Amino acid sequence: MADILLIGKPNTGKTLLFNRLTGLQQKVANYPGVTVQVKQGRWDKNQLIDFPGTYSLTPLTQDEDVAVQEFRYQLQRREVELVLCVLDATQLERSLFFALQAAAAAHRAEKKIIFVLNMMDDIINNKLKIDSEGLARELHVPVVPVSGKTQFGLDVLKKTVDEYLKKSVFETTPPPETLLSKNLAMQYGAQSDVLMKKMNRLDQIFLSTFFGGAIFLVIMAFLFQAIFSWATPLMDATEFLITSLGHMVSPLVPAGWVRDFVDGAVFGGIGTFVVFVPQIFILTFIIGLMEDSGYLSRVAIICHKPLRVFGLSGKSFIPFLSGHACAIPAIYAARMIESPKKRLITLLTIPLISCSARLPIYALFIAALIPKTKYLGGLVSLQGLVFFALFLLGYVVALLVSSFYSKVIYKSKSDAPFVIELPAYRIPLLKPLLFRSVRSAWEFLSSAGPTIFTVVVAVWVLAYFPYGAGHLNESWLAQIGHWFEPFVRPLGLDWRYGVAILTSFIAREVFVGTLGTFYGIDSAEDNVTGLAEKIGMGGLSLASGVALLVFYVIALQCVSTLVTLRRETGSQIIPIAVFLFYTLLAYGLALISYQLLVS
Amino acid sequence: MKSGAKTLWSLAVKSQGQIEGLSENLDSKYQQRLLDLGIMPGEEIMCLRTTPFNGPRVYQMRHTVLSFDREICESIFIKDSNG
Repeated sequence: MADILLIGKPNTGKTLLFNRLTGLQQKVANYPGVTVQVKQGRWDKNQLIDFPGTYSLTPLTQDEDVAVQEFRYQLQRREVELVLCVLDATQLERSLFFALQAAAAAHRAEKKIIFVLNMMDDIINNKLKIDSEGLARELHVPVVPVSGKTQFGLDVLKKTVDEYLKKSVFETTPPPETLLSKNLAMQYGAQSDVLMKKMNRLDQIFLSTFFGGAIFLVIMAFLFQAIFSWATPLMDATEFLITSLGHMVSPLVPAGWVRDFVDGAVFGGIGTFVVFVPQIFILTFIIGLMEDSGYLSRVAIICHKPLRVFGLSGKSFIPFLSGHACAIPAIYAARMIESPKKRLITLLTIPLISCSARLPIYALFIAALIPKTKYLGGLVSLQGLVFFALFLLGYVVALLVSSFYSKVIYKSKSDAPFVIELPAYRIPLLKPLLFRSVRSAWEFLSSAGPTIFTVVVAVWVLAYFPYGAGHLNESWLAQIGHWFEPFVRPLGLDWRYGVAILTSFIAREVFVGTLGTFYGIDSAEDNVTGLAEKIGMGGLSLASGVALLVFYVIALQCVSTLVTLRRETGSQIIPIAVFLFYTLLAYGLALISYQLLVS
Repeated sequence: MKSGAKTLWSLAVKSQGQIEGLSENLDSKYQQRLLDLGIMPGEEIMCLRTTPFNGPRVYQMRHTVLSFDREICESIFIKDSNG
C-alpha cells in the first residue's frame, strides 16, 4: 500500500493511462492543460495521483504552476514511495528532457522513479524500434514500454511497480546527471520521421494558409448544426418517453391538487428541462472529438491573429469552446494562457459564450417561433441557422467587450507571446469519449436537478394556490409577478415571463422549468403537449421572442460562474461589476431588438 | 554573420537555419521555456509552414514540432545553415 505519483509532459497520454490503470473514466485530452486538477484513483493496493501535464519543472503558466507546486509538495509526503513518469515514445527527446528533471527531483526527495514509455502502439504500427532496455541500462531506471490505447504492456508495468516498491530507495541509483536527452534520443529512440511526415501531411490541409481558416469555419458550422439537427431525434424520443410516462403515472395518483402537482410541476416543469439533455451530450461529444484528435491545438494557431485584434490570445479560443458546455471548466481552462492580461480578459468574456444551460431556452423559442424550413435538400435548416446566429451573437458581444476591456480597463503593455508544441494527430478512442459525454450530460442533469426541482415546486405552489388549476392569473404568484411587469412590458412580455426571468437569475436552466410549470397549471386539461407548441399557441410575438433570446445570450445568470470568477480573479468587485454590466447590456440590447422588430 | 542580423521570422518556408541565441529583451521566463523546448545555440531549425491569417508559424527541430508567433520568432537569432 503506497502512494504513486503520475507525472509527464502534456500529450503523453497520461490521463488515458491513468484511466486504464484505475478504471476511472476521466477526461482524456490531446490538448495541453486539459487536466487542470490533481486526481486520485485506486490502482490495485496502491493509490495513483495524477497531475496536470507540464513541459518543465520551471512553470510558465498558471496551470503548470499548480501542477509543479503540487508535485513538489507530494514528493515530500511520507506515503509517496514511487513516481511514474510518462514518456511519449514518439517524442522521446522532449519527453526525456522532462523525465530527467523529474528523476532528479524524485531522487532529491528520496523517492523511486520508473519511466513509462507510452504510445508504443504508434511505434509498433509504423514498424519503428526503440531500445528501451538499452535506455534503462544507461539511465539506471526501469523503462517500461506500454500503450494506454491498446493496453499493451500494462501487466508488465504492474509487475515492475510491485517489484520496485519492495526495493529500498537506497538500492536504486539516480540517472547520471551528465546525460542529455538529445543524445539519449539519438542513441535509443526511433530514428525514422514517418510520424512527422504523417503529421505534416495533415497540417498541410488543416493549417493551410488558404484553406485552414475555411476548414475551421466549416467545422464550427457543422458543430452548431449538429447540436440542433442531430439532437432532434434524441430530443423527440426523450419527449415521447416523458409524455408516455406522464400518461401512465397521472391516472395512478388521486385527482385534485396532487394530480395537478404531478402533471404541472413534475411533468410540465421538470420534464420540459430533461428534454434538452441530448444536446449537451452531442456538444460534449464533438468538442471531445476535436480535443482528442489534436485539432484543438491547431485551432489555437488559426485563431491567434484574429483574436489578437480583440486583445485575446489564440489560446483563448479553447476556453471559449469548452464554455459552450459550461463556463466553469472553461474558466479553469483559461489558466493555460500565459499572459495575465489576456487570461483575465478571457475569464471575463467566457460568460458571454453560449453555454449548455442556455440551450434549452434557445431550443424552446426557436421551436416555438421559427418555421421548420429546410434548405439545400434538407441539409441546412432555418432553425439550425437561427441557432448558429445566437451562438455567433455571443461571440460578437464577447469580442467587442474584449477589445473594450483591453483598451479601456487593462492598459498594461505586456503582451505575452505565443508558444505551443504541436501534438501528433490521433484517432480518438470512441468508448472513453462516449462515456465522457454521457457523464457530462448526467452531471449537468444531477447538478442542475435539485435547484430546478426546488424552484419549480416553489413556483408551482405560488402559481397553483389559492384557486387551483386554470386560475393562474388570480394566483399568488400573479400578484407578485405584476410588480415585475413594468420591466418586461417594454419587451412585449407579460408577468409570467417576468417571473420566469427572475427565477432564472439563480440558474438559467430554471427558466424553462418555471415556464413549463405555468403552462402546466394553465392548461390543466392538456399537460402533455410540448411546451414549444403551447408557447406558439400562447401568442408570443416574434419580436418578444427575439428580445428574450438576445437577453439570454448576454445576461450572466449563474451563481456558480460568479463564485468561480471570484476565486480565479481573487477579487470581490470583478464578479459583481461583470454581473451588473452584462445584465444591463442584455436588457438594453433586448429592448433595442424589440423596438426595431415591432416598428 | 553578425549576431542579431537575422531572426527566425525571416527564415523562409522549407529552409533551415542554425540557432545563434535569444534576445535579451525577451522575458527571462520565456527564455527559460525556449531553452526547455530545446531552442539552444547550435541547433538546426526548419520552418515547416506559415498558417492562416499570417499567424504563428510552425517549426521543426529534429522530432519536435513547435509553433511560435512573430514576437517570439523575432527574439530568436539564427544564421544560415551549412554556412
